[in-house]
Amino acid sequence: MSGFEKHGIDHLSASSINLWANAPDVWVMQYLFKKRTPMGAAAWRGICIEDAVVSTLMGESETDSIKAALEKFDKRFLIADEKTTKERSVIEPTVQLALEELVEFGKPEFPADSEHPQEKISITAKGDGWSIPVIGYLDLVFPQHGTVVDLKTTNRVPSKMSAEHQLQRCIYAAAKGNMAVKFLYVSAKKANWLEDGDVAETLGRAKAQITRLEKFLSVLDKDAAKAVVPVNPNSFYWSGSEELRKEFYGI
Amino acid sequence: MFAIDTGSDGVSGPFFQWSARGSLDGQVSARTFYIRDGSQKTTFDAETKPIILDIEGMKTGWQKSEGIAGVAPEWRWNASVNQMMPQPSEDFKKGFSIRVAIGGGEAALWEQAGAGVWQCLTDLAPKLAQQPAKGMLPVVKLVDVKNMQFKGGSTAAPVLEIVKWVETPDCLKEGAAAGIATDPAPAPQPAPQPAPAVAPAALDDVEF
Repeated sequence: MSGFEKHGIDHLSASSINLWANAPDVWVMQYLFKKRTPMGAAAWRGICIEDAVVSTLMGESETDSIKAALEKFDKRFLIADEKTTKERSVIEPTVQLALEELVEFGKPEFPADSEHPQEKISITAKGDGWSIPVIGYLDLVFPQHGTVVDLKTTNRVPSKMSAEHQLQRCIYAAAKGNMAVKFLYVSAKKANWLEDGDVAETLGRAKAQITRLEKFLSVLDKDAAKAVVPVNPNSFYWSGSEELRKEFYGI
Repeated sequence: MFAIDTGSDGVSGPFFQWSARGSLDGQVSARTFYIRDGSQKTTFDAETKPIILDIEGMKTGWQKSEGIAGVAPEWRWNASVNQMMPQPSEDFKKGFSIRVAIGGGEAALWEQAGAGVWQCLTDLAPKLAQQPAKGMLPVVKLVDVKNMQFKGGSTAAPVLEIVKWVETPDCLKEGAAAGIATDPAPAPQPAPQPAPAVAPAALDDVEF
């Protein structure tokens, strides 16, 4: 029995692998104890923007799509503070800028008869005595252009993709064969297309991390994992979840 | 009971308040709610007497108080509870105004600013967003008191829990229109057009 099977883990994802590498304490809490850190305003803003972009590309009016996105955001953050207000304020201009970049691609395609509105992809990581699917969901697929687009909304558009995003892109690229996989970074003021990261090299590094994860899981039960994993209270990943961390780890 | 109280911006009382440290006059203990009506303060046991929050008439904003008895605090209200204006200056604190039903057909105004009560409201907000229908209001009770530590001091925040949702009681209907209504209607989800699914055989065919 592999470490993954021992803990009932039947798949990984780019975010799971990145979390394991960057914040194993958060990973243990989320994936072994099923305690999720709450989604913050920035992440929710991204979801709302993506909804509005997809909706508009599929034929809804831009105005109605933005209105729906704002309503969705307001529903989640019923009582605003300065942070949520700032995130809310970028929804409309970011949607507009993203659409300017994407309009030339036409309508994206989405899977039919699926509970999940996005196309699922999966590749398999295999090691000594174990294998595990690594899955992902594609934001926008334009088969007629041979292009997959992942929309990243941000308050600061990067000139180079982070290692975490490179892994996500490389998983998609490996799964989608000869399609181009591009990440569109959009803020309220700027957009930038990036496709960094060598697929083989990046997946090789990811496999090394997955191998370590499998070994970690194979030698420890979940309570032991919780007891020995280093806890980093200063990690960005705990931001907004400090109380949860104290409750779970006592640190 | 509904006397004009010049101690709070001229709006009508009675007033529902949280006291983190107790009142200097000794009428109110620390870490309790109380009702202020004129100069009379009465402890309110929100653990055993749930209250109804008029979330549809709720307002949020910034309050500046000189802390002088008889001098009304200055409020700057947000245009909507969904948007918080920038802090007017450092001496303004985040706060809110909400009418509450306190039992016996009576209503009171909970208008207060400060870290403890703001934390109380924002902790409750995700649950408030689950309002089942317009006109339904949450019945809440005090379940805990949370200590909050800052660089320059500390306070205690009430922790409220929704017991159930009820129709707006008569005592809250009168003033409901005075506030800024929230829109409880669920946001429509973008619905992508169906397109050919990925064939299952296409999955798991790449290994690394």
